[in-house]
Amino acid sequence: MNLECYEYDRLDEFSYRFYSEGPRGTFKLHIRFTRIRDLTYNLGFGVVDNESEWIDDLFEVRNGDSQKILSTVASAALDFLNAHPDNSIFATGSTSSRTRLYQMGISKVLPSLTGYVIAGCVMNKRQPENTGQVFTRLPVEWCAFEAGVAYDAFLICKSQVLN
Amino acid sequence: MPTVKIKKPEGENEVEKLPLNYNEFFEKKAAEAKAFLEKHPIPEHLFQKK
Repeated sequence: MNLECYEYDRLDEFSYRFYSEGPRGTFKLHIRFTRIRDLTYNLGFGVVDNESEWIDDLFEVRNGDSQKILSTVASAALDFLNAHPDNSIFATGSTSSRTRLYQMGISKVLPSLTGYVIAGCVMNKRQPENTGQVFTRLPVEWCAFEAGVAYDAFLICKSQVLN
Repeated sequence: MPTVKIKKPEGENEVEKLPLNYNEFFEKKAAEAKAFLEKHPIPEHLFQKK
């Protein structure tokens, strides 16, 4: 993964921290992988409001570095998987637009992500049929990640732990 | 890849100040993720462990 990232600190086995820097100032961001079942961990990250000192995933940094932030989070996720190769990471955006951003980010790095398997979950997918006019509602489904599909959630793990 | 620094155990001069709602925030996100996966389980053939 050769995208520009911030340098980050690994605070402990499950937690990371880095800083966004730009025209609106410096903001601290935290990433944590929280166990949700057996070997699956949720990827959570948020920005610390400098005034309230609360962490929030709806806070907008607006430093013009959203791609750099996403790349840093992705890099931390790969670092976590390298340290815990049997684990899987679940991720979804705090809003649909952010989930879309994740999807675009994954699509961008997908060619370089050898050794990992990524699945996406599509909820109530509406797919145009041949006419382009008729839409069919499909059931919720998990499938192997493909660029260009609007997913609602993602799961990633190292491929060597798969059959 | 960025440089990853492994933070040393907190010493006398350095204490990591976590956000006031740090645990609450991440536990809430994990609970939402858990609920999602319970509602939409992942097919075993996609992520089947050895």
